[in-house]
Amino acid sequence: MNLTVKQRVGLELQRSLRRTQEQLHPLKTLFWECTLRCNMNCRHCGSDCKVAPAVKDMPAEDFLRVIDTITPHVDPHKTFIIFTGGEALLRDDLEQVGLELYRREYPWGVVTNGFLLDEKRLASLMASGMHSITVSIDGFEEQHNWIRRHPQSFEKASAAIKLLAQQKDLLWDVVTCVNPRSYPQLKEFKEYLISLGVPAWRLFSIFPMGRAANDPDLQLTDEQYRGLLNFIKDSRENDPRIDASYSCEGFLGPYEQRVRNHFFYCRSGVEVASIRCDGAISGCTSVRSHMDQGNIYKDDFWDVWQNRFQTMRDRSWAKKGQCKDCKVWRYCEGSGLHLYDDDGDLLVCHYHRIKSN
Amino acid sequence: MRIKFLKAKNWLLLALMGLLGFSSCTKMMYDCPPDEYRGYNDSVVDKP
Ligand code: SF4
Ligand code: SF4
Repeated sequence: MNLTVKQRVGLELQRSLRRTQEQLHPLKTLFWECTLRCNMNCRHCGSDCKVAPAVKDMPAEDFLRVIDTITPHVDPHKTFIIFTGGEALLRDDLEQVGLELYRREYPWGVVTNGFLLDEKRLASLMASGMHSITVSIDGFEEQHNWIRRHPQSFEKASAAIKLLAQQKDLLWDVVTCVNPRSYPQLKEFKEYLISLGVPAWRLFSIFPMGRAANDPDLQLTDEQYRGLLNFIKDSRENDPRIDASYSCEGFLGPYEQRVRNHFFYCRSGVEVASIRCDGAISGCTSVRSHMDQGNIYKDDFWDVWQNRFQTMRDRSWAKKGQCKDCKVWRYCEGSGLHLYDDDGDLLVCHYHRIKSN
Repeated sequence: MRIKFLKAKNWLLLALMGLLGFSSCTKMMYDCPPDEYRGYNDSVVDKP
């Protein structure tokens, strides 16, 4: 499979779009890494565990103070705030923070493993203005509990999903990190999610970061990776019961626009920023800390957003190593920033995984 | 002025992509809700 003429035209338009977005850099998504505490011990966790116990939760007022400095510069209705972690629901003041955001007219959402999401908690989150929620579940009971290293994690995540399926006015979806153990059951697992009432399902593969970096059991083979993309493509073409899609990472060559609703575009630092638990200001939360751009305890967030982030907005530095002479550089520009190691070297190229025999 | 121009260019590019049948909604990594989940909608919750 090669790129079609139509895909190339679209990719050229996307390229121009990216250039204008780099200059405009509208702050569309702001993550708050509100805690590094977690009630699971996932094999594939992207967090840097070494720092986890050392960093305390950021006080809510410190985060809200930053929000108040941002508000004059953005249209709050168009800046989405996402609480992430660790496990965000471990914070018992999320509702207070959410309510403050609601009062300032920001939409906000949560990403959770679902363990703590019971009826009461969901009701209080919704009463505080929660706009969307994402639950992660990585396969059937055996696979999910194996990867989460918790005997009740599947049961709890399923219960949370059932609860969400009963809500009328909430936007929600499910994410699944596919690994070699869950890969063979993708079809059956899709049926299970449909039976629970899941409207949208995002899939991705484990990226070589955090705990997963040293665990080859977690990585799909190139053949399985292509199989995953074909599974999503087939589902999108033939199964309207659930909106399956691949996550934002990686230029996917012939699969562009076929496995997700957009062309590849790493928005980290262009449209996406984060405030980490220790106050660091960065792009997407998945990007490693050596790319941090400042710290809320030393810098003015808006000043940092306006005047730094050059390494994320101009990716020419990434044209090295395997990307140096790459034929599709103009569409990919060195892939997603979360795929770079601490030395600034690319860990994996999705396009080459697809192209390999 | 420059910002207005960039915004207009942006709009035009998105319109062209739409005309060609391409979608430009962005679904991010596992920890980010998709674009269609964005945007303030007062009706989604009871007044807290
Ligand atoms: S080699 Fe680099 S630029 Fe080329 S597809 Fe891979 S990540 Fe992208
Ligand atoms: S850094 Fe990775 S996860 Fe974040 S926006 Fe870029 S491609 Fe997506």
